[in-house]
Amino acid sequence: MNADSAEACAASWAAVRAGDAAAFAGFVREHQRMVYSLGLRMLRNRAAAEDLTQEVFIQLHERIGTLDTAIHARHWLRRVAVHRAIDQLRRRPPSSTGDDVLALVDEHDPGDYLLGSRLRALVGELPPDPRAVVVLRYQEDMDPSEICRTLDMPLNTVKSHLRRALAVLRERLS
Amino acid sequence: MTHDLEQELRRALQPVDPSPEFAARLLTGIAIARDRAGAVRQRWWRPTALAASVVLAIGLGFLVYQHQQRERAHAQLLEALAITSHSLDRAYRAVRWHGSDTGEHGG
Amino acid sequence: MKRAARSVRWRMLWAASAAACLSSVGLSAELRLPDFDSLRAKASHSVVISLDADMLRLAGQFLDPSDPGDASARVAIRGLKSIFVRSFSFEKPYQVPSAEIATLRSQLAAPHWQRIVQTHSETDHSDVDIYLAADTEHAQGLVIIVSEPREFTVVSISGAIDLARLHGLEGHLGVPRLPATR
Repeated sequence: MNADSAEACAASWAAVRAGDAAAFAGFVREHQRMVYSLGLRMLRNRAAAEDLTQEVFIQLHERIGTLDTAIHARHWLRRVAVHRAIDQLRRRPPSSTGDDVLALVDEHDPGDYLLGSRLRALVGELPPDPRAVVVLRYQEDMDPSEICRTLDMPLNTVKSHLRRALAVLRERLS
Repeated sequence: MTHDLEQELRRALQPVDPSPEFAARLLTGIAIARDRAGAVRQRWWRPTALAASVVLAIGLGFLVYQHQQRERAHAQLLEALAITSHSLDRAYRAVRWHGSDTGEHGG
Repeated sequence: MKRAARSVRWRMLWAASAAACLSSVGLSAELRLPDFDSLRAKASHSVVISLDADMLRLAGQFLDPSDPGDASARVAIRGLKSIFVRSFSFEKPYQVPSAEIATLRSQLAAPHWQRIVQTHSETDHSDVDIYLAADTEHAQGLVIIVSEPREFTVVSISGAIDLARLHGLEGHLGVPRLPATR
């Protein structure tokens, strides 16, 4: 991020914190894709992902005063979204809405449809914690040390989850 | 194979947008929640609530610490049990494999 | 028929071990593991977990009975006093020096420990040893040592151990079941 864009970002976030509704709407539009996708990959249900997204942003609005920067807010969004999804999976996992519609939305290259669809289904079969690790790693491109802070999980546990999940996915794909 | 799988995972798990209708509903829902919160803030008991929340925050801080300790222990317990079960399974398969080779059990 | 025969032999092995009357089980069946600092330094990935009675109790408070994995874990740890795990993975094949585990082996040479499983595979150069400390009804101490070219794992558990419950856990917990290596 260059100096100009960093300054613009800081100004925009200052406006959000000052209660500027338009600035907040802009922030929501910028980050809703990330939050919604985390919910969708974790919960495998569009309606549940939408509900989760709404709850997270409402909670964000209540917590704005405690978040110093936009980056801080993004980390907070990611963390809260994943934790909420894990809690929901542990309490009462929502039924999957199936991947056909998702695939049509997700895939730009029809040649990848089957593999991508299969991978998403397999990830969705992982238990909540390893699923969260995989989603954060490959959707958000986070490294294990960032994941362990987001999930409040020991680093070695994150690495174990990742290693074993990849082994399971590899085996089931073959 | 790992590298290919990781690439495919990145591709499969690319973020997606919610429907345009949802995006509009989201902002409306947040606005409604914001208005409700604003009404609450105008209540006369707010200064008292603030003072009480300071006291609560100190107690909550301790509870959060305890919670984090339990979470950590919980994660370690599950991992320890998983490794134990896997190790037992290794032993079981080793005995079964050895038995199939020689007709005798290992050990 | 052959599979059933092997299964019967396996069950007999467990039963014989559990029924072994070791009056000296009054000696501690808890085997605290060292941290294996030198192995940690060489490993690409280490898992070092030490859960004594207090930590097990703390962890147990967090188990959700409505979650299937947690419910299985809760049953498995019932009566356990401690769980110690040391697991190390190496980028390249690494032969763990015998000096590293000499102290461990010397503790397992005590009369109240019995080696109930000892296997060696020439195919994948792996060794699996299981030691048990048991009274007439229950296993009170369990040590599993798995040694493979790229992995070394030691698990030590004390308390009232149910081997069948522990064996059946994988796949039910928050860690995926690993693919079979054979």
